Amino acid sequence: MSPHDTSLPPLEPQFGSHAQQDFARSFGMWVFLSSELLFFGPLLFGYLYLRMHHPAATGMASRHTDMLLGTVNTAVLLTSSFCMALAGHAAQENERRRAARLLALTALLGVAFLAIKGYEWHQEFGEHLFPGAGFRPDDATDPATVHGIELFFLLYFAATGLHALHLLIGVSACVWLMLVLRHAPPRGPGNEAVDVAGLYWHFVDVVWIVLYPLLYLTARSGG
Amino acid sequence: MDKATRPLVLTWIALMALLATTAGCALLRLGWLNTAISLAIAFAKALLVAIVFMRLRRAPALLRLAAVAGAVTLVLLFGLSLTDYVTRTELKAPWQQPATVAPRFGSG
Repeated sequence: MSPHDTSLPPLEPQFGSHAQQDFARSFGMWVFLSSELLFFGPLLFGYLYLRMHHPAATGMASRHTDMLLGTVNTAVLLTSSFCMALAGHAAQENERRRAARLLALTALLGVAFLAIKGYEWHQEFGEHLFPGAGFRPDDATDPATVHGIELFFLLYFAATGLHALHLLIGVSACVWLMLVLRHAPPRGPGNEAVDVAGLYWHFVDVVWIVLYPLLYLTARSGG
Repeated sequence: MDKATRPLVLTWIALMALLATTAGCALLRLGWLNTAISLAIAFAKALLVAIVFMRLRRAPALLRLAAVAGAVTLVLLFGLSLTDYVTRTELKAPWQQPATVAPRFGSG
């Protein structure tokens, strides 16, 4: 934020300047995101374990997921990240109205992602692919293979569910920011708030970028 | 397209191109290369988002360090966990469906 800006957010007493305050906020968010990566880590390790111990079952299970919807969803989320980056840029230029509009678009794409994901879950419930007593994939009868496929879907629902929860929090943050951006500081947030929320949004995008090939593309061609 | 947003637009185009490539390659029968290609492309996409969208390109060293710390710790934990999981014989968990567990001597 430029020093000649008339509408600066209040400077907290522990910071010497607004630049330092903004940096501390970004740094705090990055530390949080690093811990979030470790939060998703065990799920990724579980997947690695499954892939090493039940490679054939993982491939069979992965072919049960809907690749078309998964790919469309990846495109939706990548585009939402692009909108978020544009919103951060607009906020830096102090164009808060444009930033708010871009945040609305980002949130809308996030909701579209959740809707598509919900439809996929609905389909998988219908195909008896939710782990539990009713788990019955239609193409495997060998108990060891069924067990491997069930483990895959346990990870699938845990990982996509945790990701969807994060996205829901991201959408809420976008909507909240969009509403409070109308007020100039000190009543509303400073322009750097959009960037900090953006870091979180992009992280959720990165998690999906990693989940997409693991859950949808494994042995898709059958080999 | 103004000059400042050009990197963002180019990154979005690159991300879409990479997505199309990874989806296309997944449909070809390439054996182990399928996994290698999809993971390499996922890594490239994640780097693009982190460096351009998350502004690591112009970030101070301390921010870059905080960003890398999580990834490095994750790799360390993966390595340490693997030393256990690749060397241990797989024990059947008690909640498995009975048919998947070989009957043990002496069990009713």
